Amino acid sequence: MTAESPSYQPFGRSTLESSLAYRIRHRLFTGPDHLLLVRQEGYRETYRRLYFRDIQAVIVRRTVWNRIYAAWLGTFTLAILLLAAVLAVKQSPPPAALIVFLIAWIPGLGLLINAHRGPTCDTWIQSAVQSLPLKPLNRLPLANRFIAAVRQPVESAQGTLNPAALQAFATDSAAPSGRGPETSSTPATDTATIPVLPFRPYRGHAHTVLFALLLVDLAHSLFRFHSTAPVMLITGLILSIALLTSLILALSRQAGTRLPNTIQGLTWTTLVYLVLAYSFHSSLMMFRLPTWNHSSPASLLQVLYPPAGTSMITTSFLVLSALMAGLTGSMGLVQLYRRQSGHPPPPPSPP
Amino acid sequence: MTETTGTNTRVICPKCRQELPWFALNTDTMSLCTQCGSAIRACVFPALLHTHQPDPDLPVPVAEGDASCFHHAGRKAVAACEECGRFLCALCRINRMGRNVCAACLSRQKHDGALPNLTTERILYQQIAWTLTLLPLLVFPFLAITAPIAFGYAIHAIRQPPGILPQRRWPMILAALLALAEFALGLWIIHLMLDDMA
Repeated sequence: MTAESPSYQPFGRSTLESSLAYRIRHRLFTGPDHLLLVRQEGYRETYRRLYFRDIQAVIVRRTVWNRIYAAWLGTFTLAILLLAAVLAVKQSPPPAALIVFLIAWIPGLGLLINAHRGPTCDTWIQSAVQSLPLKPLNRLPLANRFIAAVRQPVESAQGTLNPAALQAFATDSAAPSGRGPETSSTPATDTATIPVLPFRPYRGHAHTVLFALLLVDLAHSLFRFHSTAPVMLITGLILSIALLTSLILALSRQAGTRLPNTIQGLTWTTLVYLVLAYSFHSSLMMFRLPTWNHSSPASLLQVLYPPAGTSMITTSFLVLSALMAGLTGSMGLVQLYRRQSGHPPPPPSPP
Repeated sequence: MTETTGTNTRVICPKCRQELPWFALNTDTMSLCTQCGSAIRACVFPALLHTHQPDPDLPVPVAEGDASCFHHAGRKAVAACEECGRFLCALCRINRMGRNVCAACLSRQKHDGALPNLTTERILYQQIAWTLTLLPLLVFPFLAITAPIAFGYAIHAIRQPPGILPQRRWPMILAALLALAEFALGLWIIHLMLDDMA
């Protein structure tokens, strides 16, 4: 018997799923009568085939990651451009401002690529026996192109779906008695056997407090440009603790609720922002602590939290923090307001 | 939502696992999931409506004068394996590209690499060879040990039957040549070290 070697055409780009512990590369190919999902983990490549005659549905769900990427990259670009402007105004050596301006192109380019690739999405393919994620199809235009590309071979393998038959099927499957005349030979699928997780009632108070605190943090960062009083530093510490507490509360409350993806995404963005900000602050403290002359606690505070404008690093950090806090806080509050005005709050949970 | 297996009879939202309403299916634009509010586009095909009928070609008991299956003495043979010639019942017969074969022959062919269409996994020897060629450059005194192993993997990658995905041959040859060069370099380093010790 001669070896059969079907020709495969790659569809989309490969996607990398990685962490400290693993690195998995996903690729998607189209063959003559099937799709090939390739998963490369370490030095092993595994293949899964989905024949066109078996594909029941392709499901695409839009996600908010492109907006989160855009917010991050936009903030970085803006902050670096601001720094370049400050350098230019302060008449530092001309190459410094130019170099910083050129560096701003790195996140700027990322922002453009992100915008060009379109909204992010999760794509799933369903057959009679399994549902598989199509990881390489993580952008909406690409997923739409994929649906357009597979529709013809799938329909030539299965025939065309009549909308009336689909409606009848859906109505029959929703009815408790069974699945209609076409599928009556098989046992009826009882919808009660499929586990359905109920949504937890949640009004969004923890998120309101979190986003409001972020705006307070913005105001606090801006005030630090004008005041170096110890009370400001102590307020900053209290604000940090309050922010962390409300963030933990918001993250624990949002799981399993009807809270929109945008608000949930913004909450995770706040976590990333706070982790980065505190890591940066801690590393700065480690460098500055040896310079303290052990005179008084107030001088320790001055060493650890130098006033804004004393160094470029501190100034850039404060500007970036203020931008991030303002952006995330205002976006979150707007989204919460839209949710409150668009949908009535869920009823309180029964005792 | 994680990868699931089971019997799918409806289209569900990947986020909230609730059934999508029929008016959200086969639309050209995004629709909102009525449960979680996610923007969804679900393209449905006729296979969703099909039911799996039992195979009418079930094995029948062997009668007087009939040939019986090699594996099931009580069942009537309906075909002979075109590879080994064994008689097969309807259950044991596998129709592979219009040819009747038995499970053992199919398994052997798959193992020999003659059926790339059935391959489910592959070890990437070429990448192992490249890793073993490049990484030990950081610990160059051990080149004399790692280079022959890298060369072995590169040769194994060259001799491997072609996989189902197109793979270029020249990177494997280059890895083998680099491994040979590294082996020579490793030997030279050992020679220098021995000279120093003497």
